[in-house]
Order: sequence, then structure tokens, then C-alpha cells
Amino acid sequence: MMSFYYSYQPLIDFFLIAVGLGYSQQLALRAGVFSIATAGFSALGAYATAILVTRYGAPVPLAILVSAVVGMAVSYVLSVPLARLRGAFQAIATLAFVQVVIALLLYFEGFTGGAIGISGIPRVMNTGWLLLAVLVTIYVIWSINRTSVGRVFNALRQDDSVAASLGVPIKSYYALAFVLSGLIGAVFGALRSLYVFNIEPVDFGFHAMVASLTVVVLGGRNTLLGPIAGALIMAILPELARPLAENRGILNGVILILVITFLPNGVGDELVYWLRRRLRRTPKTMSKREEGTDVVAAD
Amino acid sequence: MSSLRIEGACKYFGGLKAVDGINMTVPAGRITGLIGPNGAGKSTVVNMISGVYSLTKGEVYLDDQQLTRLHVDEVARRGIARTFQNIRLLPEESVLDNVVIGYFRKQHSGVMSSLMGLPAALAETRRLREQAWELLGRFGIQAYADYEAGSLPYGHQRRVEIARSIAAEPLVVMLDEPVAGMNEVESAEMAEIFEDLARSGMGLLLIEHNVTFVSRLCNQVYVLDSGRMIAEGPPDAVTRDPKVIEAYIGGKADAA
Repeated sequence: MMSFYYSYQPLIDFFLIAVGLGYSQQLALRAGVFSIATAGFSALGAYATAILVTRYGAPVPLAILVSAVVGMAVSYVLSVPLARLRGAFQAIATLAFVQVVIALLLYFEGFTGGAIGISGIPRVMNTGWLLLAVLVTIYVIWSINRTSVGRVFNALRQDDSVAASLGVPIKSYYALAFVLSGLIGAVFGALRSLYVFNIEPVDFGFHAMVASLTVVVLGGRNTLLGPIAGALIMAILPELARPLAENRGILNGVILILVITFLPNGVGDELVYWLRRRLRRTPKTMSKREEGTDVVAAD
Repeated sequence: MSSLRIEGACKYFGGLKAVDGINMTVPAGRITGLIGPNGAGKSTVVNMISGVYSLTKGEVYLDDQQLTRLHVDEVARRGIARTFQNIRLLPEESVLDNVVIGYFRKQHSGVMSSLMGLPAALAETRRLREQAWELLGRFGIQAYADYEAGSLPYGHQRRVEIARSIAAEPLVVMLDEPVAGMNEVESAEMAEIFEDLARSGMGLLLIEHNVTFVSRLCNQVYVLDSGRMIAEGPPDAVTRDPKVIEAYIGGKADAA
């Protein structure tokens, strides 16, 4: 067990970061916000922490806190125009946001280090801290799922005019989903920068955006298991595909196409739905179902 | 005891006068009918009251409060609920969860306690699920509680939607063709529920095609045709009104 951990430690750590960013991506999607801004939020979080720690010698917890606040503030401002858009238009707007962040990082060279980025970031993160961050995120989302906010998010995704007709202030809840997505994205961006020694704009570009979206597409959009399953596939796949060397991308693409075609809800979500269907066939609900058929017969 | 009033309400879509200067009152504890042929503007009236459409002219009041310029969610929070003519459930949610979301207006636990999973928020969810379960019993659809709402037969979907709309005990509920697609027995069951709700003090606005059903339930009936109110009064008087017969059957009243 321990030898497994030591030989795969970097893989496990990047898996945990991918899970965190996956939850940031998933939270927006499950509330019906078609956002792909997670890469942008993680860039803001990563740079805020890296600059504070390397240049101003700020203590690490304070730097992460600032990153969190920056993520929330920027996502809140962004949520105002986003609330006027729907579907693909939100995707395009958030894509533009990510590109703007990258452009600014390149432009303000004196502050951000330009294309070279920031190096010499102390490596203070380890598997334990990353795991703790993932567990806290899971707890919050699990709480959301079991209470009023989760019900509202599900309603927004399926039909926001129904939510409004029941008294839900839909703009506030869209903003809440987006701010939570920004918060989680920025925090995991900060944790990532405290793990990889140096960051540069290209780490947060189109590739990062596709990566966090892929985690959710492969894993699932609605359940807690989704991002875990998605990130697991993304972590294991390159290892399995090692013999393919340069052509690993092909395997990624093939897997993505297969999952979208045959498991459109994602591997994690399909698994959870399948288990729920199995559980519904327990004897207790079996009798309920028979009552149901009686009602139909009586009609 | 609150009553909903609309005064001189107009809704024009460009040159089309969808609703043209109507007055209507929906008193508490009564079932008020709104009938009229297809395209008369009945659903437009519901959308005007609930805030989906802004009024071109006229006002909407709940007692003394003006609702005219409020947003959809604000109107709902004042206690005006509705159903949709083309049933709108959350298709992926279970029947029970579709009703639980209906309690939104009555919830007390805040966003933070939801995010942190505090006991108060969890207890509220448990309580609402129990209440929703009982409400399903009242509508005779407990057996379907676990099913995805989208998989239910049409008539049952209507019941789920009506249950959701009255879950938070609104002051006034507007039911847009609530018994469409139901047979005699089923609509009689619904009628019983509507009468119970009225007895509890709720004001009901029944938008219907089915004149017999409306006549049996309502104290006051309004008849809309091409955006104008052509008759109002007790159901037996209204259904004998020549203008109403003309609107429904077509042609001149004396020829009919």
C-alpha cells in the first residue's frame, strides 16, 4: 500500500487537484450555468497566491484566503452580465473571460512575470492537505445536495421559469452557483501553485479549460461521484497509454467519444443512477410499485 | 382574506390586442372561473398577473398592494401561485422532489446553513419531504413518489403540478386547464380538492375549456373572447348569455 503511494504520489496529488477543479466546473453546470470559466478562476487563484507568497512573503494561509476572495469577487462581477445570457452564449462569454485573464497575465509582465510566469514558489502542499481540501469541498456539495440550495440548483438547470414561478430569485441563485464555482476554482488554483514550484499563463489556457470540462463530461454533471470518476479516468489513462507515446491524445479523444455516445450522463452519474434503480427494487418499494399498478388498473 | 383584482388590464403585442381592458376579481375562499374559446387570451391573463408579461395598461392588486410591475418571483412570494397550461415539471426529479421544491416560499433556513449542512437545514428538508408525502396522498399519487416526474402519465403529471403549486399555501392559485386530459372520475376527484382549498380560504382562478366543470364549481364566471370580457356573473346566467353562445358555437345567437 505504502509503496504504491510512493510510486504514484504525483499522480495522486494531480488527481486530487483535478477533482477539485472538476467540482468547480460541475457546480456551475448542475445549476444550469454553462460556464467554462474554471480555468480562469484557477489562474487568478494561482497567481494571487504565488505573487503574495514569493514577492511579499505573505503567510500561506493568508495567500490562499486572498485567492478565495479574489475568485469570489471576480465571479460575482462576472455573474451580472452572465445572468442575461443562456446556454452556448454563456460558454462563449466564459471562454472569452479565460482568454482575457491569460492576455492580462501576459501583458502585465512586471507584476505577473509575463510568459515566463512565476517561479520559486515554495512547495508546501502535499497529499494530506490536498485530500483535506477535496473532502471539505465534497462536504459542502453534499450539504448543498441535501438541502434547499441543491433543490433550487436542480430546478434552475431543468426549467428556470418554473423556479421563478415558485418564488425563487433566480438571478441570485445563478450568481450563488457561479460564485461557489469561482471560489472552488480559485482555491484549487492556489493549492496547485503551492505544489508545482512555478506557474505560467500557458498552464491555464485552452488545455486547462478542456481538462476540467473533460473531468465532468467523463464523470458526470450531477452526482458527487462524477468528478471523482472523471478525474480518475483522466489520471489513469496516460499511464495506460504510455506505449502510445506521442499519440496519447488519440486515446483521450476515443474515450471521450465513446463515453458521450454510450454513457451520456458520464461514468460516475450512470453508476449512481444504476445503483438507485437497483435500490428502488427492494421489497418495500416493490409493494409500492404494485399499488401503483392497481391504481392504473382501477382507472 | 385576500382578493386579487385586475383593473383595466391591457396587453398588446404590437398591433394585436391580446387582452383589451378587462376587469376581474378573484376573491378569497371562492372558485372563480375564466372561460373562453381557444385564443381568447385566457393564458395571457395568467401570464400578466404572474408577471411573465408586463401590462401595456392597467393594474393588478392583491388587496391594497400593487403587483403590476413586480417580477415573476416577487409575485410568487406575495402568495400568488400558478400552474402552466402545458405542464412544466422538473423532468429529472422524482415526483416527491417536484413537490418539495414547491415549498420554497415557506423555507426558513438560509443559504449558509444549507452550504454548511447545519442540522436546522437538514431537519427542514426532512419536514418538507414529509409534508410533500402527505400532499401526494391527498392527490392520490403517493405510489409514484419515487418515479421520475417525466415518466408519469399526463393526468398524473397535472396532479403533481397542482400539488406543487399549492404546497406553500398561496393566497391565490391560478390553475390553467387543470383537468385537461382527465376523465369524469378523475376530474371529480380534482373538483373535491379544489372545493377543499376554497373552504380553507384560498382564492382559486380556474381557467377552463370545460364549461360544465366550471359551472359546477364556480360562484362567478368570466368569459373572455378575443381579448375582451364579453360576460360575467353566476355560471347559469353566463352560459345562457347569447354573446357567450355565439362565441362558443359561432354564428349569430338567434340562429343557434
